[in-house]
Amino acid sequence: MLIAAALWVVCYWLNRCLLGFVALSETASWVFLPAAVRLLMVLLWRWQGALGLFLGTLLTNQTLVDLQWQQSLGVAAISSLAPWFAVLIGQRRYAIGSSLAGLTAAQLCAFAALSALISGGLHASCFAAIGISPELGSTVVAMAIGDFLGAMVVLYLLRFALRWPARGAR
Amino acid sequence: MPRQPGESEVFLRFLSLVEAIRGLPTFPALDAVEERVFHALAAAWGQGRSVTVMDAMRLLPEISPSTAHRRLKELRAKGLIQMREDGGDGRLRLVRPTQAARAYFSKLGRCIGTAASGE
Repeated sequence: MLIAAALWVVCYWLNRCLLGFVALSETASWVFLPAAVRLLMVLLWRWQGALGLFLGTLLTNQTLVDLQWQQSLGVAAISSLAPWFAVLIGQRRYAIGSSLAGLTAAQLCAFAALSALISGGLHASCFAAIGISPELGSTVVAMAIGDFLGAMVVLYLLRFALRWPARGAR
Repeated sequence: MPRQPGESEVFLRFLSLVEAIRGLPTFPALDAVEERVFHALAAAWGQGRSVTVMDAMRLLPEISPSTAHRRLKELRAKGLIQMREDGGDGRLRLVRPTQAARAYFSKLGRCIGTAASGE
């Protein structure tokens, strides 16, 4: 749980520092790397991962985004529940067990897309209701695309990183 | 032994995730020799044969064993094959396809099917 929270905070900061130029607004970015943290933490640790995301999002909300505490709780809940829903739906759709045995790369990409759609839709709706991002349509699109692209960037970085032991092994 | 039953489940999920990530498609460019070695391996696997590294080096008589071995290492670096010790005999290493290789073969099969159907 603490690992999930810490990874979320670090990724959020990195995304803000490195990819701030692709941000559509304070709350939406065309490439959002922490989306991968959401997906992977929930896939690995389930409710504990979601709880870690909740805590991590509370931290980033307080330090980086100007929200009232009730709004922050709502955003944190969406941040942790959206990937959770995506994993539940995806597991049922692809008949994947809790151990993720047989999970394919294509299904993993589908999980990322589903998480991006649910997260983007819920976050944008929440921000529009709060009044932070009044342009709901463009925010939904940017957040969904940003989450998906961010997740794919991180997954491919991991993909190439996993090849290094193979190069060194005899 | 894991302290809690959940820890082994997390480890299994981790392994499954790693395999899924390794299966993400990339575009490993194969040169002509790598392609021939890879297709010769595919033919052997298709016949249900277990292929050792030594077998793989001799699959194509027109290619020297040293050249074939270099290509095997390249194929492994590109994530298309894995070379693991045979469970029963530690002296032997078996060449096996990875998930990326299986995806490659499936895609080729679909392309052939599409071409054959005239679409």
